[in-house]
Amino acid sequence: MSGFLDWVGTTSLSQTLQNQFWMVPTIQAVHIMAITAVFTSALVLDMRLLGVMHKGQALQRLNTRFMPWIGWGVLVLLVTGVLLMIAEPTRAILNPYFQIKMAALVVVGAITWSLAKAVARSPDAWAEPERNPVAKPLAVASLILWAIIVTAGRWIAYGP
Amino acid sequence: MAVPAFFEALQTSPLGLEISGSIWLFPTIETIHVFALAVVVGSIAIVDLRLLGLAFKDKAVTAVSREYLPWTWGAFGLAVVSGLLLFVSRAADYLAIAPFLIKFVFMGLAGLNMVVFHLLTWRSVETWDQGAPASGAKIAGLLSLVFWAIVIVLGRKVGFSL
Repeated sequence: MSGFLDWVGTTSLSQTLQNQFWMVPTIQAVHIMAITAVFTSALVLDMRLLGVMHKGQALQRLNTRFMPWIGWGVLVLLVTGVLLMIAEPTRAILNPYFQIKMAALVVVGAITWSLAKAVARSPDAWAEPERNPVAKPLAVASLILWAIIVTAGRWIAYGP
Repeated sequence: MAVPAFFEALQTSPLGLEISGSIWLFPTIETIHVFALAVVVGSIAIVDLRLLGLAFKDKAVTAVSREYLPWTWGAFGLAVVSGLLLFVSRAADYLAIAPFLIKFVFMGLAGLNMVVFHLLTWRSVETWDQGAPASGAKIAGLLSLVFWAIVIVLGRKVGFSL
């Protein structure tokens, strides 16, 4: 593994990212803007599930509005995240915070995806989501998982 | 640039030394700052996109503002408190680097844009609350998106400049 990571560090893409001093901070700034879009969108949907925001608005309508921001935002996060790993190959992969972050991302992705599918299949059953018994546990789980992702992401810089 | 002695004293105060000397305090406050800025900029961007007529077109501008601005201000308070704590730990160092200072110029511009928008354009909000926004609202929304994006870029640059 470390042989492979050392090789990644010698590729011309990695060298370019390392040698242009403005590239890594700029890619990180784009990464943060995507976090802003994804985290706020997830927060709004979870607050709707909890009956805190957009009371009276059908969940399907909010999903149509915010799910594309989550989907495209996560794509931007993956692309910028991979570029940052190519720039510093030994920083993330073997870092426990990175591994926790990816595990949480897979779980929250599965929850978000299956909930969106369920709501699209029977929008009427989710028109008033706060009446659905699984809505609140799912919203709390989603918020905790996104919080773990953001926290672990910031702590990669301080990991072993 | 010469940094006043007050900020040197801040940096070496018990609170400053506590934060810079701890292995977990600085990263923890930084993490809180990330949550706060995500909600500040995310909620502002939603209102900006409504002002530009690009999102929530079926909802009144005043309704979108009422829904999101409490989150903006709550998160902004958290960003200020966490930001001040980060600042105290390296006060003199931060004041000596350009991205940090320019960041606050752009936050000032974002604030000024908001004040001008409220004093001028917002007074006629009843006439453009539904449907297509006034051109003043579009300009304010666009400027806000640009200023806050620059604030994020400079904020991230701060971490590379010390």
